[in-house]
Amino acid sequence: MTRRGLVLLALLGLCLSLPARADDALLAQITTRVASSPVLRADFSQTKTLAAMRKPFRIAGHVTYARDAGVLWQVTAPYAVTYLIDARGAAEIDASGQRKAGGGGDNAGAAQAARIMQALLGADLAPLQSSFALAPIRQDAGWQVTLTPHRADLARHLARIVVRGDTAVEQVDILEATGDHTEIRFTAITHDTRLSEAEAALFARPE
Amino acid sequence: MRAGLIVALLSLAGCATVPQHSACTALGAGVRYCLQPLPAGQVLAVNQWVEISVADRPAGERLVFAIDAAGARMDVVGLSPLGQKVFRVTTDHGTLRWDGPQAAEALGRQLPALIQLMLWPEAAVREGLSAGATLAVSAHERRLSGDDTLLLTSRQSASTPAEGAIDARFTQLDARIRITPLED
Repeated sequence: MTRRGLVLLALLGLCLSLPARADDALLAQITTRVASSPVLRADFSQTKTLAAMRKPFRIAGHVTYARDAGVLWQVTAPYAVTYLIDARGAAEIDASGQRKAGGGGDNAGAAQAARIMQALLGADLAPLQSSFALAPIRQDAGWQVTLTPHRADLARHLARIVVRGDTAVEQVDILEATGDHTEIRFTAITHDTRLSEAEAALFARPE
Repeated sequence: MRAGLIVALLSLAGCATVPQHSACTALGAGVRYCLQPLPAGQVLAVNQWVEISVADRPAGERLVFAIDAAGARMDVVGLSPLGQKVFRVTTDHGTLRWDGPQAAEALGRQLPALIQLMLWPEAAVREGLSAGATLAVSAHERRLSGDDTLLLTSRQSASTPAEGAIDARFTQLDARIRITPLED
């Protein structure tokens, strides 16, 4: 190859690597921006639209995200249930704050789901790159990241996830291969440095 | 962020999705029920909070049923309280497709019949029952029996079953189902 050819090849390689580096830089910025608060609280509304079904399914409530402890989902409408999701999986919390036997199940699937959920809520997306191709963009004052599965076992069920936010995750859209669509919106988001005593008690569930 | 996503993915890993011709279900005591279409022009699209308890699990399970039916097609999607899809069962002109955990498939395949017995118009239910079945219907109760054996008691709070709460007991399955419609 001529010297000129080598230079062109080097330039081409540089151009091809630039978008990936830009994506990595933006992902890092997003993570830094969201992860600055160890505790987030928000109201959430979730709408699940099932393929070929006329009536969407909606729930709403309150979510507490603790970077080092997990996520507490408190559904308040149209019924009341509370679930704690952490690295050990999902567990239902009863009215007295105790873990309910058999609620959610601490299986490997739930634990993996919990890890992904925590990663999404904390915008800590880099660990998901083994399963998803991440495409971040700046959007208005905030950002959007599209996660497309590149593992065949995931892609069979999941088309993509779209996460939007600013200083916190504000909306997550999950589009399944079946055509089902789950939209979760977060409003009244507040940042904090630590959990309240009551929240900490709920997170400290026994084995 | 929903756990829904991957929980569904993983739970679906061992699912059966093979359609089968299973329009009719044996209910016990020699009684069978064959799935019936909704009357022409009628559509059912409801979300219900469902509490199911069986003899060996008295604490029971709580699910949301999303039901959509028109004509001979009926879809029932079971969702966890956080909205994760647990199963989907679809019937269409005598074909039944189960998409859910294999461990729940046997009961799941009976689900469309059980739902129709509770929710479908009385005339349609009678049309689907085999000879020898006795269906007694009052304003707020349905009692199905065969060969002098009680198979189902379904008490409803509204004159139109799908519009109110239902408390049903399936004797042969030793199962109790309490249904509350969910409003938006």
